[in-house]
Amino acid sequence: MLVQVEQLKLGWERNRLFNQEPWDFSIPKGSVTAVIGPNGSGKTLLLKGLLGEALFGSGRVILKLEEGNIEVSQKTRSKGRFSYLPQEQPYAPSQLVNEFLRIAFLPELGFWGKPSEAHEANLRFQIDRLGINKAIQKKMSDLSTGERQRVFLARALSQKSVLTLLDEPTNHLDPEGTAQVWQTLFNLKGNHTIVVTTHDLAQVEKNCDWIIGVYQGRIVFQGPIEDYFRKSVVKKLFPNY
Amino acid sequence: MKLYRPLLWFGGAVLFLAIAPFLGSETLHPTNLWDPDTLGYRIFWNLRYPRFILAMGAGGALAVLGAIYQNLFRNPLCEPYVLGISSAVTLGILVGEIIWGFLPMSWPSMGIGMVAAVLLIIFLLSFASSRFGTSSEKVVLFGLGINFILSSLLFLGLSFQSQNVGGGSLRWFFGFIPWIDLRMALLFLFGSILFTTLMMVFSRALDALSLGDSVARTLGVSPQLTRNILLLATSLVLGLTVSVVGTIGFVGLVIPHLTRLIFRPATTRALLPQVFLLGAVFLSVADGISRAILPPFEFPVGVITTLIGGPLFLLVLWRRN
Repeated sequence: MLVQVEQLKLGWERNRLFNQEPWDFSIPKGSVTAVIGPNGSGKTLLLKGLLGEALFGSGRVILKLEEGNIEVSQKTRSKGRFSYLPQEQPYAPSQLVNEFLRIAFLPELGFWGKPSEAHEANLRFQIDRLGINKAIQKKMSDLSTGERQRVFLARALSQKSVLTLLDEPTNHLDPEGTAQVWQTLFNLKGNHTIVVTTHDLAQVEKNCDWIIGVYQGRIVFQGPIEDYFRKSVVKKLFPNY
Repeated sequence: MKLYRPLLWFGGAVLFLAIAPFLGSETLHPTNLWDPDTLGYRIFWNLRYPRFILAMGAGGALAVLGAIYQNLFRNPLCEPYVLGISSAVTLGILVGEIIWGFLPMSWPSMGIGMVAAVLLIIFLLSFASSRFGTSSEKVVLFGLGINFILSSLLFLGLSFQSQNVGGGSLRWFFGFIPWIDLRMALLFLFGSILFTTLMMVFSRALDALSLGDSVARTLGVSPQLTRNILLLATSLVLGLTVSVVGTIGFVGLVIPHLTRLIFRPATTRALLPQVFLLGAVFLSVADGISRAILPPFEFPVGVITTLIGGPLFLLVLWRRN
């Protein structure tokens, strides 16, 4: 297990907790973990909790690294440990895509460093795989919403981290783009630990290995993907899915 | 690479800068500039040249401040005055003159201006961000509200006082490049170049902030701390600029957009020096024009910058689609 969450209560603000029932869950190392649940059930908040934000309640998030266990909080360093793609990614409209993507190297390069050949190769690899070759010379504001979403994702995946948190990365994408993204995540398995929130159960079944189900602020299921679909808890939990 | 484009602009800028100090009520002959006995020599080196240097420094600083604010608040319509700092500075300076008799452009007067700017930004940071958290859009709206209150206080105060307070109130509302001694002007230009250089060093932090606070943290940039430092530094520079040249409109708003349109800089680091140069050229030429239209009368330079800047702004909007 890479992440161990114990008795966690989160809130968007002080004095306004989201879940009354504390959360206990874990995320296996090298897995693609899906967080599923209807709108407003707490998926985004769960990712924020993993980042060490929204910790206005009780409980702990423990990151089990090689150098030892770290309790994650707002004050602990998240550079080099997390990579995060929010659901609504802000961006500077006039920035060139090429430059936007290179911000992913900031944790390693600092304010003056130049990207190495390895950095560039990794970035080119992500760009190819996500099919955004044509976009990289354009301005951010000149991209289509789907292209931009893939650029955002390429930034998140190029950023060196222990844990990659993606909040609905296939938003705004057409079926082909969606498939490309899931294929990319599938290929990163083993080397990367990825947590992804989604509503796409078919893709989850195909590409993920661990699943956390949230419903009305409660964690109703967690475990390997096979268990989840075999027990056919899907229909019981989310009849409308 | 289209090299001719920047070259053309560079050439144009040099030409403009060569002409600007010659504009004014007294027509100068270039050969007089090297003869200390002539009136032209004294007018050029003691009056126009320092003022020209000051205009370059102020124009560069305002344009860079505008670029930083637009970046920081993720709003292309931001200009440096949006948080109400200019009103606070002006209010401070006028209060300083009315109560203690500090003349504008004197050290205590500029000191009051900068203290007023810093006080306002500390108030904004501690008050507005304690309520709205890290959401900077709301901080802008809050600052806008404060700006309205402060400027109406300013008008109220001025309507009780003689209109000549602060060397003429028009000067503060429309901006005015004063005659200044060369040492002060060079100090100002050097200061604004230093500020621009510092901002270039931290430009990747600005880029990181534009991805939102959570992502900035994962990139190793503390959003709250970085924003506080940036706001303090920019308000100090803006406070100083406003206490010397008043509130010159449109430089901070239009120059960053114009720079992007002309030079297409790839990074924020490349953008800032280009913005500085274009801002410097723009304001010094506008100041020359303000003296040349109807000599010996001088128009407030802000009127000229707005007259040129307004159409330029429309042009940028037009060209962007």
